[in-house]
Amino acid sequence: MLLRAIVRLVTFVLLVLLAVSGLAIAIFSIGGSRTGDFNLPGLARLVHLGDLRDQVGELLHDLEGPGSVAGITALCGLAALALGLLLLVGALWPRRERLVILQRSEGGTLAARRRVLGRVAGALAEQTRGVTATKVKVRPGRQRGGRLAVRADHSRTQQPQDVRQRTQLALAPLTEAFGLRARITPRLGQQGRRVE
Amino acid sequence: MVSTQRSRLARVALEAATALPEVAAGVRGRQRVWATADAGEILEGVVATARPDARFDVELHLVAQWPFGSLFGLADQVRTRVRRAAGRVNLDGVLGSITVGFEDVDDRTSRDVGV
Repeated sequence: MLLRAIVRLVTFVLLVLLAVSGLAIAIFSIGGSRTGDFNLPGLARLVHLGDLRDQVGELLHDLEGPGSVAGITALCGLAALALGLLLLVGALWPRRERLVILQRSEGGTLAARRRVLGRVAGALAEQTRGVTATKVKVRPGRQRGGRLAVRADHSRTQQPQDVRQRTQLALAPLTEAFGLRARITPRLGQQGRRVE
Repeated sequence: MVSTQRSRLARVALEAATALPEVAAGVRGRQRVWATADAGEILEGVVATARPDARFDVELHLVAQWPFGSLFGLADQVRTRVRRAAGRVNLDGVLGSITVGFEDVDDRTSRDVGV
């Protein structure tokens, strides 16, 4: 998730840079061979390409000999390689389908989106004695099934472990039938919420 | 107005599924690809795919209407109705597997298709 976000950001920044560079080259190309700064050599002078060439030349010269520069450069190279590999993983790693496959047979497949399952799970959990409100998050599995994270608010008179057990039982028709794993977190309900 | 065996089967399946009170409608999805053209009409939420054995697998992408009981029970009802409806129009011989996907739930207050 984080890698994918970084890949998106890096891609966006690189594309913007590419677009700006292309635009600058296109604009300065209009100048053709006319004298002045409004041509490609002028653009090179503007972005100090000559200085950059000298600096790179110095760096390459330092790299040839032993010393700290060579070590630091090697480390930077390795870091760049690692970063590149991470970005590749972020870009190519298959995205988790937001669909929960509930049943697959020769007759067909039964699948549901997270919202549908969350709604069903919420309705089942709210039927539990002592539960005043629920919040359900569904995380699809890579192949089949998935995980339900249920936060069950309860009243002060209820014991959290009893609420957890009862909610687990209430969710059983969904979790057992479709191979879903439920994690129930009982929480003392806020003041003013529905009282069961 | 072109209507083929495949598109007719898609229509029959979608109509049978959406006739259930617990099914609000079919949806085309974010990419808008879950649809089949039949007789000049776009049927949203159904895809019929040809198989090598000359049958057609039917995929239904549905919005469930809240409240409903078991998803499994609802999917079973959908499949039974589709098979019956296909039988009534002599298309049961070409009906393959029926995939049911519940893409969203309609509670009459909000809709967020393709979550």
